[in-house]
Amino acid sequence: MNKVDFLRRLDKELSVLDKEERKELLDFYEERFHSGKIYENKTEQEIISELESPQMIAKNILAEYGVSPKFVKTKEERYQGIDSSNLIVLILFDLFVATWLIPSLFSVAFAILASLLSYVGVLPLIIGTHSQMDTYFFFVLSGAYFLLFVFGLIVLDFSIYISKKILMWHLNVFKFKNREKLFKRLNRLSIDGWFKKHRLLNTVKNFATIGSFVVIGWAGFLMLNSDSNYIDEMLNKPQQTMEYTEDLALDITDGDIWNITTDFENMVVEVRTTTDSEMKVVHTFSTEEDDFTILLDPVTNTLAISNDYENRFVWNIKDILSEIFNLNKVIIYVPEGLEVNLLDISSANGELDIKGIDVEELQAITLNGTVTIKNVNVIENMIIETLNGRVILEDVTGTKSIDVSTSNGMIHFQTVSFQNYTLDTSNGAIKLYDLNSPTSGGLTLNADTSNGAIYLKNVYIANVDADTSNGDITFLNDNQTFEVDSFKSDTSNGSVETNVR
Amino acid sequence: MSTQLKKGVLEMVVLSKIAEKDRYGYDIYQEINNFMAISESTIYPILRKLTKERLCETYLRESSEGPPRKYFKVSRMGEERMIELKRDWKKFERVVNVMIRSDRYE
Repeated sequence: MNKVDFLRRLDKELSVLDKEERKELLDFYEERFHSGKIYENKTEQEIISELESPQMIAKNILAEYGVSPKFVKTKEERYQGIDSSNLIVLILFDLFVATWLIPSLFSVAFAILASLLSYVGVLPLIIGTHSQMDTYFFFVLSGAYFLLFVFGLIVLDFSIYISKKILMWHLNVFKFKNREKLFKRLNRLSIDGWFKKHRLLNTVKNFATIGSFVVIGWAGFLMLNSDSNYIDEMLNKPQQTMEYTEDLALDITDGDIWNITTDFENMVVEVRTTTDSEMKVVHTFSTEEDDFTILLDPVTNTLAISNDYENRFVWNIKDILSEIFNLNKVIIYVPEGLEVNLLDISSANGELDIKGIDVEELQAITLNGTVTIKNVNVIENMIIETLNGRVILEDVTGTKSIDVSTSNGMIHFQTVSFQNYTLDTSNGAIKLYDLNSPTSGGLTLNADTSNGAIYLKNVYIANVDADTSNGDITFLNDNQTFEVDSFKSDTSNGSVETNVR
Repeated sequence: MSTQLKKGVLEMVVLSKIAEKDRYGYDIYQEINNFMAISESTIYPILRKLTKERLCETYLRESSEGPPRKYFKVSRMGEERMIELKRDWKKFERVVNVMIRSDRYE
């Protein structure tokens, strides 16, 4: 042991003191070594043999500070043997796995258990007058709900189990005192353990689980084998159809210009052309009145349709199912020769499907549904918006600009021709095939997606700007004679492939 | 000499050694060790404590042969405390003397 060793040992022994304090004390000993060497001509070894051992010195010093050496020892022990590699794995696990694993497990469990509340909707099946089939259906659903309950408990138990294991791991890595005792307690904490303690309830649960399977099988068998097609009736409630027509032969010959607007809250909308001279609106609906209003006015040349869908609180499972499966629908038949200025189709909830019409200007807006437009010619601009759905265009031409935005869905164009394109989706690919032609190219294209690939094939547009946060960008044209003025591509996480010049 | 006894007076002894003249750590230890055997390691925390309580001040003094040494110098507060301690000690000494000469009262 030399001076450096000695001081290092002492420093270690005094680790419980704060840094400044330790430095002061070590300085004394440093000075002590110098004094001995220079003024008394001693070697380091001699000085060390004069001094007490570092352990002894530390003990005396700590005693002066009022620190019990016993306490220091336990504190050392606590951190002794914490494997640093274990610790790193643990921290990484906490950061990248535990942070999402535990919350998501529990949220799934609670979501399942919370969904059991919708059992309220099953009760009306056997309240009041009801058919034999209603009773069977009630049994099937009740059984299914109980099984869901059991499943929810299993998921919850699993979540608890995983959390427990992770907690135990932490305690082990940190060498937590008395952890054995805690482990015993933790091990007892589980849903399954609780049921095992409460024998009677456990028996009830097991019987009910088996009973649920039996009931579902039995009632389901009776339902499927009975003559009445109960499920069909429920899913396809008798639909009513209303037709509104107006003969526009005169308007067609006069070249009168019409505007068609819709403002629906909950409606699937189709626009079609007809060879008849009659404008026809077909409204199909299954549930009660949805406040459908129609204005088909040959004086102002306006077709304006709207509905005000009242959000009733439905707690009958049959109605809930039928509302999900049977959306109200409107089909608008426009005479082929009729001149239409504005076609403005909007529906808060429902698909929009427009085929084979020539208009001056087109707007299609829906909050929740796919927008499909085929064989449409637009003279002015086109605007398409959907919050949650795809946008599909085929054989669509326009002379000015087209604006498409969707928050969640892909944009797919096939044989489309405009001058300026602005395409925007937050989540979905943009795929464009055969835009404009090599002889008459478009001016600008802005394609922007936050998450998805951008694929451009035979896109003859002078200025292309493709931007994606996550996905590949591909731009390939068969005809190489067409020269692109500018091609800007920006992808944060993907490759760019192009053959255009 | 009992370590317990020494412990009680060591702070006062160290302070009085500094009050005599400016001294460095090892010097103080040797001075005291000439009269009563003490452990070197008990001196340093006491010096640290005295400095912290501003009873003495430290400064570095160059020496001809080696690196500078840390010298301790008594402060005004230290001098006052010294007077106080001396007075207390005399009182204490008297009282203890009285108490341990129990044979007188027999």
